[in-house]
Amino acid sequence: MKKIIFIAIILFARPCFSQGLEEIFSDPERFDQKQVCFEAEVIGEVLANDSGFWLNVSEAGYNLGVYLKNREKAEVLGHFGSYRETGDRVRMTGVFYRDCPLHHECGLHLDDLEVIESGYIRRESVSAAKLKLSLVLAIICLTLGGIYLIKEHYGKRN
Amino acid sequence: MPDRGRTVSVFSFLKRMIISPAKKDFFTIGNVLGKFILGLSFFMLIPLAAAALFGEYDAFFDFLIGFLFSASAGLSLLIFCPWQEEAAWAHSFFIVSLGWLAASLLGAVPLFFSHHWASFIDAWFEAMSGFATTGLSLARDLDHLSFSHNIWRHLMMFLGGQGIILAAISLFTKARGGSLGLYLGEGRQEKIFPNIIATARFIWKVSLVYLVLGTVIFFLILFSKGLAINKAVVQAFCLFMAAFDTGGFAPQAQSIAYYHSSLMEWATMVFMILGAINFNLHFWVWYKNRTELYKNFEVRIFFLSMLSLSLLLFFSLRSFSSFTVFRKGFYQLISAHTGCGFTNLSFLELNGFKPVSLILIMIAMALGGGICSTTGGIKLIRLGFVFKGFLGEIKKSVMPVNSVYKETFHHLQDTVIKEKYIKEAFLMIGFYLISFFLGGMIGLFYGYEPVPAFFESVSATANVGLSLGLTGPAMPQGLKLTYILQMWAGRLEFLSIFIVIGYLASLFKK
Repeated sequence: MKKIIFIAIILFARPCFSQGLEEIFSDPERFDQKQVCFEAEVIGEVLANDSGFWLNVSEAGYNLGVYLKNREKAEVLGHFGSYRETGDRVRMTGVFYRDCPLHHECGLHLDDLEVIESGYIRRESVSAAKLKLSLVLAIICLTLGGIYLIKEHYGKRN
Repeated sequence: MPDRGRTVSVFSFLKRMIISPAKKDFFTIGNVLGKFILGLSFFMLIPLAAAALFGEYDAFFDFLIGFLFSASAGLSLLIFCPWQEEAAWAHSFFIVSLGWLAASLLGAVPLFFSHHWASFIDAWFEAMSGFATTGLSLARDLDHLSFSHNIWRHLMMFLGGQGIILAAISLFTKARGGSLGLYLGEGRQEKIFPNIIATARFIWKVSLVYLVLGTVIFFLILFSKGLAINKAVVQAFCLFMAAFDTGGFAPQAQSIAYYHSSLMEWATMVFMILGAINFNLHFWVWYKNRTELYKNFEVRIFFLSMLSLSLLLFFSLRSFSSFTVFRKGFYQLISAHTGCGFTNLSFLELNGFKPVSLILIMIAMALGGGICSTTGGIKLIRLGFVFKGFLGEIKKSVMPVNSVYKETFHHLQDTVIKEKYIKEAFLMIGFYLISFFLGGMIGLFYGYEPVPAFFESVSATANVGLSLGLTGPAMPQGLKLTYILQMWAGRLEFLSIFIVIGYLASLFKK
């Protein structure tokens, strides 16, 4: 009996099994209106909407909109994916809708959000090869420009 | 010379052309191409300035390399191919074909250096897709792309929509000779003014007025959604260029779905439709007669085809809620019919549509918009000519033998449909259908399912950009090259490509 209770606790203690976005997208009808859980990077910003707020998440080329009724849930987020930043990696739990009756969109209605890996500001560095190539091309371009102007000037005089 | 507002018979010009180039011809072509490439390189200064403004230093060097490389190529051509004579008809078609190839190859340089494209072919695909206003993308991790690279992707669409060769030449040089050939070669068959440069400048004027209007409207929507000012400005600018020039690139991977805003969807629909309208009609509505909008042959065909396709799509998507069918189905249909390629669905959602719904979207993609607009595809007026041709034949068959019957259409003025208009329409529709078929067959050859293979083929040739997910960095190189060829040929409406083939054939003959 104890064993059964232990197995039941293990099975039901977690709100759901973690799915990847790829798995959800590969069979959206299976997950429609069901509790799902996945990990992904938060992209862009929190977007305001008449009925609440939206977040967008990305994972391995798959993107999904996440609906939040209150903005407070998103306050734990510090970094949003962009050119300058790698967004926070989050674990999201909520109900997935293939065609949400409220918004008429495919998306997740968020219940719980947890930051599992904080994002960071990306360091931008210019490679030495790009600098050298720019310099060489600048010399070539200026030389050609000079030749062209001389040729034009000389041609007009003749 | 053709009259204003009349459909120009491009095939009659073809007959007059002599396809036997001499050394002097190559100098002339090289000289004009040099001017064009130099002009194009100056457009790269826009994203270069944006990179400097936003402090995107790595991207700054990508555009510096792109600018210097393009300017050097243009100057080399000008030095080695000195001016010999004004470009003639045959030259212009050759210039257009080579110019579009050169533009896409040079436009790919700053993209390639950004590392968001896996190979130079991927960057070339993106640049060709941009210039041809297609919108199919091979970018990896688009959500982390710099502002400046996004500006360049969308600017390529804006230039492509105007006609890049004529844009560069009319803005940066005083070229006159062969300008009608350049205009026709870039897939436009109607003049607004007798002078082609004046026509090109009017097209720029219309586009710039809408650019300001569209950017302001999109900015207000995006800013109200919570985007930071700088991001809202850049994305509004980019989205306008993609919507009006019916391109379809978007700054975010989810396209328009990223914004979760029906207001944004409505706003983009308005500008997509404005881009799909004949520039000649813009001119008439702005300066002459507003009622032309309701009487125009192309507008009526657009309305009729949208209505019939919408009804069929509505029935084919009846498993979804009515509101979803309207918001999602109608948006895809407008996007497909105008040749834009914006979407508010993920490609997996689009894949979830029944084959019959996808076939309806494919038909809308194939049809396209107005003949002197930024759209690709068969074009509405040709569809109208074929329809009127059939109607005329039926009417003739029930009339007395000696009766004279003429079918007319209203496009700026009432015009009798000549036999050659119908023949040319059939010929162009034939070219498009062959291209759709061949591209689809190549997709099948690579092992893809028939619906996605033909869907992407139609999307590439008609310069739309909607995708069922087949187009991506992982697709075979041969298929990437096939789509590049289809986008190039479709945008130039095949004619210029045939002239290049004629030139090449004449070289072998010699």
